[in-house]
Amino acid sequence: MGLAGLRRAQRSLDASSCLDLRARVRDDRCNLTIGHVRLADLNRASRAQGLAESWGPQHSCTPGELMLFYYIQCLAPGSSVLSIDPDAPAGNLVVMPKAVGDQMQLWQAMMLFGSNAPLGIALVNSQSGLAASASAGNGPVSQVAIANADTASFWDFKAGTYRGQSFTVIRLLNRATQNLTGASNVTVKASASVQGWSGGPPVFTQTWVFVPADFDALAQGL
Amino acid sequence: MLCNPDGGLALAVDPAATAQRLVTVSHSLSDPMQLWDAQIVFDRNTTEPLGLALINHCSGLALRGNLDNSPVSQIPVQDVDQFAFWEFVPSNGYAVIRLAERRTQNLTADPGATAGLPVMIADWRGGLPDYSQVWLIYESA
Repeated sequence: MGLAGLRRAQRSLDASSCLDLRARVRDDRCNLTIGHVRLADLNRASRAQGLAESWGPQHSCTPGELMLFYYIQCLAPGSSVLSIDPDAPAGNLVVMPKAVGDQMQLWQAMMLFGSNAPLGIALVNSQSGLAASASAGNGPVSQVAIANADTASFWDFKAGTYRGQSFTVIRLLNRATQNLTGASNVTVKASASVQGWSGGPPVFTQTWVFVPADFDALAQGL
Repeated sequence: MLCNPDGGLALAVDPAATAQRLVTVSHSLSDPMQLWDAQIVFDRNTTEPLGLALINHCSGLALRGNLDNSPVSQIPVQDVDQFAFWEFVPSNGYAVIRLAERRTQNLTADPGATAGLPVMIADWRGGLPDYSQVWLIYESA
């Protein structure tokens, strides 16, 4: 099987298995094989071959959509994702049903620097280019320009597991009891907020998974 | 990310390379080959934050330190491992960029301060790092 055939097979397998992960089922791609070749190894070999083909003296820059973006998906029933508000793109954040490829729902967890020192991790939206920022105490999550990001815009990520389900709690770096909070059974959109955590297992609306957006590209055979 | 602070050289993908090596080039804020994001990468299975990767705006690839005291290279973000995660340590107004996995391996420019030379990871043996191992970090916009 040539490289093109291997890539077709890879895309087919990635598409079916990645759909599972996007539905919050544990990714088992690493256990899939083609013959005696583990799919994970095949992926790496294919990407390395692709790099060798594409990265030469006449290369051009990779389109921005291939950069690393994540959907931030809530584990509450309905599996909505963090998004800017389509009706107020610079306003408060919402959770809404996932729409594949929608830039409003794509995020980067980016380190910001000041005076050559790391300041903290900001959640930067792909569409607005703004950073998620929390109000004082419980309340909505707004957005600020990256240049204006401050301690209210820096987040901490605490991984955990509950009954076999891995998750991440997203909390304010300087107010570790304030968690990013979504909503259950969202059909159109609902407000995202920060809410207090008073100990014990986090509630479903305060647990999230980071789903890489490149899984969509693989699923679509791009 | 500028090295040899008085020399105006920036960490960049190699515009003339047939491999994924990194070099220093003359500083230009508008050149995507010189622009980097420091991004948290999350585990695809557990969603656990793994570390900070340096991702180039042109190639979309992550900076990786391969072997001790060797040139750095790039790797697809899907394949990052512990050798693609970095720490940033303030030092006398500059930043030392070192492998999170091996904290004595610092990102190091060629001390000759000449454009086009490969960038390495190299030993830090204690004390103040020299100019080839300190960096200035600028916002692009």
